[in-house]
This record gives sequence, structure tokens and C-alpha cells, in this order.
Amino acid sequence: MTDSDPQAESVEAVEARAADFLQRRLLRRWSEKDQAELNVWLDDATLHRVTYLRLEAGVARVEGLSDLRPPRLHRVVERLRLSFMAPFLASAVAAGLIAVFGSGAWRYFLPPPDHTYSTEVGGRALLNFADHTQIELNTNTVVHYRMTTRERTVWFEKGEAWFHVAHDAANPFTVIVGTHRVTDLGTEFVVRRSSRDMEVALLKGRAALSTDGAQTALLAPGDEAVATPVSMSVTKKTAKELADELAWRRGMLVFRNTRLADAVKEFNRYNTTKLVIADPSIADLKFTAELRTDHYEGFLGLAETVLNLRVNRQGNDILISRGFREKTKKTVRAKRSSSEAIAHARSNSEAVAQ
Amino acid sequence: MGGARTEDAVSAWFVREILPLEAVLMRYLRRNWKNASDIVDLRQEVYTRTFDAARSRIPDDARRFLLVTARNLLIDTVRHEQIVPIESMADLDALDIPSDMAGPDREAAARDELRHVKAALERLPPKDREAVTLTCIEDLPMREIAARMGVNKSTVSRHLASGLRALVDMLYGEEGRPGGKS
Repeated sequence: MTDSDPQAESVEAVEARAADFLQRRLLRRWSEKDQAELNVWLDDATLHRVTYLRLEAGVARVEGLSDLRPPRLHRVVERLRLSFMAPFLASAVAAGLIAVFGSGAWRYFLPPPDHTYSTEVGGRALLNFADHTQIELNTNTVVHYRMTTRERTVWFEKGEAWFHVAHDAANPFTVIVGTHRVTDLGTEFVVRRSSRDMEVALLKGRAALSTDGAQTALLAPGDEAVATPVSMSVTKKTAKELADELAWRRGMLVFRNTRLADAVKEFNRYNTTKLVIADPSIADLKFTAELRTDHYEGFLGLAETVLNLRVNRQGNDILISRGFREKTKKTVRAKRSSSEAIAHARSNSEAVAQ
Repeated sequence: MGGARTEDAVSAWFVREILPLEAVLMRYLRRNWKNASDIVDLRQEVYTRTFDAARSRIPDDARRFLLVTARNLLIDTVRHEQIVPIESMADLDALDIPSDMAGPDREAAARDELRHVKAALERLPPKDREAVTLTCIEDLPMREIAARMGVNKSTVSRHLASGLRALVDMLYGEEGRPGGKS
């Protein structure tokens, strides 16, 4: 592995090459082929490896400056694979699928093992496909997908994801969520899946949501549909509400007059340290703030200083309970340490009083 | 024998334990080697030897190991070149820098990390700094970086590459308390 004659290649030239790999990785689409090329070069000589590691470590330190900014996105690039199936076989399979879906039995249809992508708690990933479709996965999300020139299907196992679909009438895009599916008609939308329910919010374009019982809803921008295995309802959301819901794409959470209990639930989606409301009487306190998804300390700071609550760490949990003295009828403003958001909150009693 | 795993473990160790000692290594090399234009080559060779050795076993005392490797390299080089500049040998045995010195140093470095990196960034040539900032901190796509800088993509690449190289030299190689005067 060691270059027997490191002098053959100048230290300067090696560093230039390493810097070139690095800038490409940071700026361009970085494919598996690029990674393979880099790996070969790294394995070629230890000098290559130490030089690259040193530059890369420097980049990590500079990225550390963005600590107050959203966590860095993990970018993935996927090429569309050519379908390897002979046309007649493909159509036979497609016909088979339609038959299965048509019978209402497709809830039992398991995703094919083509590709799986998942994010951990607190993670985020952007998948770029060669057809310009993008899928951004939020925290704790699992999707399986088959993206070929003949078929574009995503099996949504859990979590939340934003889709920007490049429309192609000849190759429709389908997201299967349990017993529901969303068929794109040229769109940008978000899908969330909890234990039983699924939600789709349409940002742009059109999409059809169909459910097991052959119920189909055509969604327009601003529509947010909630579907359970047996029912489906559609509500209208304002652009602002939808933008708030999508703040996670910037690594942020936006709370507007949000119940403490709901905010806690949101933070717990993104962090392995779990917040617990120890006193049910505080669950309905409301507050307004914009915070980083991983900045639960900031949220706890607000709870202490603004909502006047008590915060206790207990193992991996953090308990939130009522403070000794409760201030009422007082609006307090708190400035978050990381500049951009000014959060303010008020106790529920005051909200009622107004 | 789990080649890739070993490689990852050694890489992580190298970044965590060895790179932060670069300023110490540079000081040692400069003190003991007259020809300043050799220093960077020597440094990279010390790194290469250190990394190779760590593949069979990761040393317990990174600082000592690094400096012994440096000393051995200097001795080898002197022998190889068959010249013995007296002053270059003078300090070779005086490398007994107590390894516990690493402790407070490193903690201070961690505390002042942000200021240190910021200060280094500010000393980059403006275009290099812009490319590094927009790429690594703002995390913008290439197209947007090129538009903001008002240059084409290959120029962005060039500035980013040269900016990163200069920055890493400052971040790791420079003497003095990080975050201090710079």
C-alpha cells in the first residue's frame, strides 16, 4: 500500500490532486463512480490518504462554523437504471400489479428490495435522481424505491419526505403508503406516515390520492389530506402554514401558538434525548418560536425563562414541570442565542384573557 | 483481516490524534532542519510513516510516536544525503516534551475553535474565502455559488481548492493559541 518511492510524485502534486477531489465532492454531483475513483487513488499510496484526510479534516472544521445553521444535508445521487426486463415481461408484471392493486389486496404487496434509503433520528437526506426528481427525507424515515426508465415507485415505510417530481406521462410516479397511494401529476408534495395514518400535503401541481376502498381524491395546491385505513379527509392550508410545516427542510421547527405538548412531540422526532412533560397541566401552554430541530436546549431555555417552567435532566430524558411561582398575565420576550429568531411566548391563561 | 475497517479506524485516529499536533511537528521540524523548503515534504513523509505504522498497531502516545517518527526520518534523511549539518542534529534528543502538555492545549483549542477557524477564514484571499464560505458554511449548490461570486464554475472550483489548501495549513500548521492574535 505504501508508495515505495514517494519522491516520484511531488508532495505538492499530491495535495493539488487531493484538493481537486475534495472540491469536486463538495461542489459537483458525486456519483458512486467518483467515489470509486477516489478510493482507488487513496489506496494507491499512504501519502495520498494522509493528504486527503488532512484537507478533509479542515473542511469538517470549517463546516463546524455552520453549527448555528441547519445540519448539513447528506446528498445522494442516483442514476435511473435501465429496466432490464424485456418489454413483454414488464407489461406482464405491470398487468399483474394492476390486478393485485385492483383487487384491493395490494396492501400486502411488499416492496421489492431494489433500493432502500433511511435516515436516523435527527438525520436528513436529499436523493437526486437523473430524471430531476428529488426526494428529501426528514428524520427517522425509511423509503424503498424503484426508479427505472419504466417505473418510478416509492414505498414509504415510515417518517416524512418531500417530493419534487419531474412529470413524465409515460412513466408515472407513485408513492405507496400502506394501503394508500399518491400518483403524481407533475408535483411537489410532502408525505408523512405515523403508525396508522398518512398525510399528504400538496404544494404545487396536482396529485391523486387513492385509498384501499378505491376512494380517490384529486389534490390541489394547499390541500392536506389525512387518510386512515378507513377514512380520508382533506383540509385547506395556507401557503404560510405549509411553509412552516416544511421548515425542517431548512433544519428548523416553526411553532406558532403551538401547544407545549405538540412542540415536545416534534422535538422528540428529531432527537435521541427525549423531552417529557411531567405535569399534564402544562401541556396546553402555548408559545411561538422558531428553533433548530436539534436545538432542544433552546426550547428548554424558553420553557424556563418564558413559560416559567422547571427543567430536570433524568438519565436520557428531560422532564418539564411547573415552576414554583407562576407568572401570569405577563408577556415576555426572549432572544434566542442564535440570532435569527426572536421567540416570544405567553402563557395560555393570558391568551384566554385577551 | 478487515482491511477497510482497519483503514477507517486508523484514519479516524489520524484525524483525531495526529493532525492536532501539526503545529508541534512543524516546530520540531523547523528547529531541526535547516532547509525550510523541505519542511512540507518532511511533514507529509512523517504523516505517511505514522499512518503506515498505525495500521499494525495504533500507538498509545500519539505525540511521542509522531515526534519519534519525525526524528527517525530526519536521521534517515541525513544519513541518506551523507551530510551531517551539525545544528540539525542538535535538538534530536530534546524531544522529550511531556505528553500531558497535550491536555490543556487541546482543551483550549476546542474552546477557541470557532474563533480560530473564523480568523483563519478571514485571512484567506477574498475570492478563496468566498468560495469556501459559500460551499462549506452556506452549503449552496455550485450554480448559486458561481452566480453569487460572478464567476464561472471552473473558477469556483479553483478558488475552493486553493482556499481549502491554504486554510488547512493555517488551521493545523500554525503556532500559537488558536483564536489569539492572528
